[in-house]
Amino acid sequence: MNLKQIAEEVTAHVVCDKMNWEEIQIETIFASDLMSDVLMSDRDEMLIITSLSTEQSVRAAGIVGAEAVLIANNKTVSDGMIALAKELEVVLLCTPLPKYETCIKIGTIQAQ
Amino acid sequence: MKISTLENIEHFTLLQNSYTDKTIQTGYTSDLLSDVMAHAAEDAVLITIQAHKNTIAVASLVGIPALIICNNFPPTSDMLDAAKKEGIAVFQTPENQFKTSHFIAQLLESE
Amino acid sequence: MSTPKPQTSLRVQELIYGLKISEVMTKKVHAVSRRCSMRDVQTIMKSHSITGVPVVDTRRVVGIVSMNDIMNALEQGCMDDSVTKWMVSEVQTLAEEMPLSFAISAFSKFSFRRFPVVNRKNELAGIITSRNINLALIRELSRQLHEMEHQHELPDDKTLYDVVKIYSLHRYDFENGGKASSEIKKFLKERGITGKILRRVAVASYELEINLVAHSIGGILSFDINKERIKISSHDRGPGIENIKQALTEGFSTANEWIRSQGFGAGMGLPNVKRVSDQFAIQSALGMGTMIQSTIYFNPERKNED
Repeated sequence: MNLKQIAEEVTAHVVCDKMNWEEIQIETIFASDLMSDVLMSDRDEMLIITSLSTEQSVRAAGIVGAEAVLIANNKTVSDGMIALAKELEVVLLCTPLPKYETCIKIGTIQAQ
Repeated sequence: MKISTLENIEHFTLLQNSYTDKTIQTGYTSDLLSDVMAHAAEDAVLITIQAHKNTIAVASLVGIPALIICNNFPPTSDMLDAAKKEGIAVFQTPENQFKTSHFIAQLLESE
Repeated sequence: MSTPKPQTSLRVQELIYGLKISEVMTKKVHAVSRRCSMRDVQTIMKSHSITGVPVVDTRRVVGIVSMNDIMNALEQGCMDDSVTKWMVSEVQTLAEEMPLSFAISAFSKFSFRRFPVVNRKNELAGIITSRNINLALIRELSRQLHEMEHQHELPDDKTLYDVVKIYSLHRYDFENGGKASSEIKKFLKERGITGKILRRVAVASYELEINLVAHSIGGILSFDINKERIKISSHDRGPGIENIKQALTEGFSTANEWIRSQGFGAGMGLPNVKRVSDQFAIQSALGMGTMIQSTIYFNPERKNED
C-alpha cells in the first residue's frame, strides 16, 4: 500500500510533503514513542507512527532512513518539526486518531 | 474478552500472574505516560514498551487491568513487584506495538 | 541557538579531553612517609617549589600535607610533629588512566590545587596540578597552529579523507540534539557509505549524542573519519556513571519522568551503541565525567587488520 492510501484511511493531513509522496510504497511500519526503540529495530522502517510530536521523532526517522512519520493523537506539529522534515526529506503526516486505532486501520488495509 | 484469554496466545508470555481477571474492551497504544493518563480508557489493555514502575502507577490510576510489553523489552524488577501489588497482569511479546495493536483488535473482534 | 564554536577551539578541547592523565601529570613526585616531620615537608616544599606533598605508606597514598598545613603548624610551633598529625587523610586521588577531562572536572568540582595520581594498584604514580593542564593546553595549541600552517586547503570533493568533526552538546537541548548525527550521516552518504554500515554509524552517533543531551551536564561529540573507519568519541564532564555494567544492561535507566516524556530514557542507549559498534570502550568516574568510544569499520573484512 502507498502513503496516500494510508493517509486516507486514517484521515491524516500532510504537514510536510515531498515529490511523489503519494506513491511511496510502505511495507515496514513501526509504532513507538521512545526513540531508542525505533533505533533498535534491525529493519528498514519506512513509516513511523508516534505520539511524540517533537523534533526528535523526525530526527530518529532520518537516522533510520524512514520515508514518513505519522503523528497520532491529534498532536500539534511545530514549525521546527516541519522545517526539519523538509531538510531531512521525511514526509510528515498528522492524524486525529489515537495510535491504537491508527495501527488497527493501517494493519487492516495492509492485510488486504 | 477476559485478560486470561491472552495467556493462551503463543507469542505472549505472562510475566506477572497475580491479577484480577477483568474484561478488556479495547486497547491503548502509547509509551508516553502523560498520554495514557489523559486518554486511556478504564477497560483497555495497555500496549507499550515503557517497562518500569511508573507505568504501573499510571495504569493503576487509570484503572487499566493489563499491560503488554512489546519488542521483548526487559521490565525492571520493581515494575513487576508493583504490578503484583496492584493486581495488574503483565505480558511480554517479541512483536512490536504496531503488530500487537492490530492483533489485539482482531482478538477482540472475534469474541 | 548559540553561535557554533569554531572547529579549532573544539578540536583543542577534544585533544585535551582525549589525553590521559598519565601523559600530562608530573611523574617525579616528592612524597614522605608517616615517620617524617612537618619540618621535613617544609624543606621539600622549599627546595622543589611545590605546595603539596603526599604521604605514602608502602607506596599507597594515605594523606597529603599542603602549604596551609605547614603554616598552621609553624604558627603553633609544631614543626617537629609527625606529618600524621597534620595531614589531610581524606585524599581525593585520580587514576592515571583516566582521560584528562575527568581531571578538569575534578579541579572545578573540588577546591584542591593538586591531585595525587595513582596507578591500578592504587600506588602513587604522579601528581597533577592546573599548571600541568595549562602546559598541555599550550603544547596542543602550538601543535595545532603548526599543523594548520602546513596544511593546504582540503578540496571539497566527495571522497573520504582524514577528517575530524567536533560538536558541542548542551544539557537538555533536545531541539538541537541529533543534529550532529544527521550531518555526519549526510557526510558519509555523500562519500559512498550506505546500507547497514551507514545505519550502524547513524544509530551509534545518535544514541551517544542524545546521551550527552539527556543524561550529562553537557560535553563534546567528536568524529574521527578516515577511509577505513569512523571513531565516535563522547566526552562529558558529569555526572559520571555509578555502575558501568548496570548502565550497559538493557532497560536500566536513571532518567526522570521529564526525560521519558521527551521520548528518551528507555535504557537502551548504551547497549544500542555497543551492539552496533565493532569496538566499544567506556570510562567513567562519579562526579568527574564519562568517556565513550565507538569504532565502526566501513569494510567488514578490514576489521581484523587493525
